[in-house]
Amino acid sequence: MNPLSIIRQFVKGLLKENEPYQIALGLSFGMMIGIIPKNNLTAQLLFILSLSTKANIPFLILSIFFFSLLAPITDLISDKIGYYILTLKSLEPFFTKMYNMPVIPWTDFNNTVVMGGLMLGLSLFIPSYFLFKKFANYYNLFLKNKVSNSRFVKFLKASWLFEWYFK
Amino acid sequence: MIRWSYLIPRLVFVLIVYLFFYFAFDPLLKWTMIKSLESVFEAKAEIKKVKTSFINPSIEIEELKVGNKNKEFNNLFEFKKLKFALLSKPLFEKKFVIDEASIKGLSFDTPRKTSCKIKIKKTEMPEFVKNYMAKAQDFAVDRLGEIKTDAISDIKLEVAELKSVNLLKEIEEKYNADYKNIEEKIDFKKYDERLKNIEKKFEDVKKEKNFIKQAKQASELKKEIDKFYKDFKKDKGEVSNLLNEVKDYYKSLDQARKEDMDRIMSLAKIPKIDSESISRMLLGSDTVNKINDYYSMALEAERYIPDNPKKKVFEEKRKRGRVVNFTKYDSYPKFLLKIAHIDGVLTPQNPIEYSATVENLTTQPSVYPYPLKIKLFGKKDKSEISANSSIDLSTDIAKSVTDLKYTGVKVSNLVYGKDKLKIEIPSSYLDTFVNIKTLGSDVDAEIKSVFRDMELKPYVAITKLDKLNKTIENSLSGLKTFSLDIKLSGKLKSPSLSFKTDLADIISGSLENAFKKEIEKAKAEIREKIDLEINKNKQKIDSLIKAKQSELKEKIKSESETISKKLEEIQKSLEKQIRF
Repeated sequence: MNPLSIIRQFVKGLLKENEPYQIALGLSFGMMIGIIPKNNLTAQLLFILSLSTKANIPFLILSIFFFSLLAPITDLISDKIGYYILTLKSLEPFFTKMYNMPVIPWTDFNNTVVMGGLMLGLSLFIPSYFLFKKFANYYNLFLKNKVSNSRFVKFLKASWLFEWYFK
Repeated sequence: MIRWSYLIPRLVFVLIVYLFFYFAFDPLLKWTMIKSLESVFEAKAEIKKVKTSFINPSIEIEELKVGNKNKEFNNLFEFKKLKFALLSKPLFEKKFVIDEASIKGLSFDTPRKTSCKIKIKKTEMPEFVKNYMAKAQDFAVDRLGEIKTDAISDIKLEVAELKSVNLLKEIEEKYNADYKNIEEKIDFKKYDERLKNIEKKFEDVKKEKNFIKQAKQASELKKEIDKFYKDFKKDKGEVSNLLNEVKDYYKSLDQARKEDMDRIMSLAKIPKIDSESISRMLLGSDTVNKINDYYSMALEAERYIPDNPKKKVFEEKRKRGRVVNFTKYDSYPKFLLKIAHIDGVLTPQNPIEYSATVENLTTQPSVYPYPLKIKLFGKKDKSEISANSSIDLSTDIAKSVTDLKYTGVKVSNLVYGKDKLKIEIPSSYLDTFVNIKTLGSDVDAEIKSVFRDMELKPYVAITKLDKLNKTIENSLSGLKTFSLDIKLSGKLKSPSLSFKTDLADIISGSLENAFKKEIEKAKAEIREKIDLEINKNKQKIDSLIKAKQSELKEKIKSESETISKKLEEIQKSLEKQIRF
């Protein structure tokens, strides 16, 4: 995604496509992507998947940044979960098969933090979706107007580049 | 439901990626490789061309040159062309497998027109190298300082501190005191009273009319005269003894002289310099710097070797998380170079055409359990190089054996040591034999170098004495051959180093010999000075004693003669009187 597109989507997301379920989806996907390392195919696929849905993009990006900052803490848990899963005797044949498949190793599924982070993210996805939905309602009621009237958004909306790009 | 706003930028992105790989990937890869090489070798690296292909994944590198950080206008190595192709199937499994690679025209120590110096943060020296350098430095500073202060000329002879001279003064004082005592004893006036008394008694004997009484008195007087004689002889004997006592003073003088000699000689010790220290001083820095370079490269290579290669499921340290590897059937390791063919001309100075092979280079020896093998051979005229190395990392304890023979190498303009002790080798032939064995974390290595048919220009200024320096220089300049043995043993991360060179033995020997001569000379001079000082004082005392003794003897003689004469007269008269 080019930088202008990101800004455009960002501003658009702040003003449009901000139904509570869209914001909650964005935040939940962001949480899942944020807690796993980004230099693998798993993170890229999750990002593409999240962008392909109607998830709110600014909240998705903000969520990725926020949860990436928390990664050193979540890594401690996800590393243990991942190691437990990856060393389960019952799953060894399955992982061995995956390990021997082409392309799959690029997902870094055999990395404890990737596997643990994915499992942690998946298990927290539904509860966090409902939690973030409540936050989205609150945002729409009390914060949305403040954000759309903020100097930063006004500046972006007023800029000739922005206008030209939206034509 | 399709989000076109999302899809269109993605398509644009794919187009940009394609254009990037088409136009910009090769220059970017070239730039990355140059930066990586510069970071590893800490000198300028140059690559003429990098060509990649993605359909049949392959890389071609042309004219790569890496500068030598220790020689500004020399390359550490360079090659004309490197070519290899990656197998496509393993690439999908995130594995980089090279079936066959070739490096053409790999040469070492080639000259370069421009400087290879770059501003880069230098790799920190390993602890054992730092310790070694400090040791060599300490030696240079301490021992040289010692040699300077030990110089023979610095040995001072303080007359006032000589025990023997002080003793002579004491002898003189004592003799004066004793003389007074003896003189007092020689004063025989105390016998005058007794003599007068005897004379008076003799007069009384003469006057006595009664014969019996007279005989009795004469007998008593004779007894008294005998006693007088006895006492007088005893006193005379004592005085004579006191006069002869002077000889004992000289007995302690001999002891004091010996002590003086020993004390002064102890200051003139030959500085002990072991040949290991001289080896370190002379060749230590250069050799350790070279070892440090190879050691840094070995540590860099070690980063790609897992800690426990045989473990079925092993963990690698990563920035985030751990990697759990599973069994691979018919699998490749993450990186594998099955075989690389290398050829080229070794160095411009020794243009040996060689060929080499590197087999089974991998980052996962447990997955590909074949030992890494390096073979090299080259020969030209009398020069020859051969190397054989086998590194097995697939077993529980990693082991390696490396043998290198590099003989008949023409070397020139070598300089070892600096400042006070330096040798220049304008030309020589060098034979080097290297044997390195490692077992787990232990290393046992021996490097033997022999310089032969050599010209040697020594520069020695390790002592203050020019003559001494010249002697050492002379003993070195005639040399035609010398050897250097380096032993490296102990743990790989902190090995202990030892140096031995017959050059150091020669320096140490000639230094000792030269010092020995100087010291013997100085000792003789000191001995002479001490004896001169003793004799001067002794003569004075001797003449004093002689004068005093003859004076005293004369006095004893005259006094005893007077007394004896008087007594004899009395005795004769007494005998005559009694007979009458």
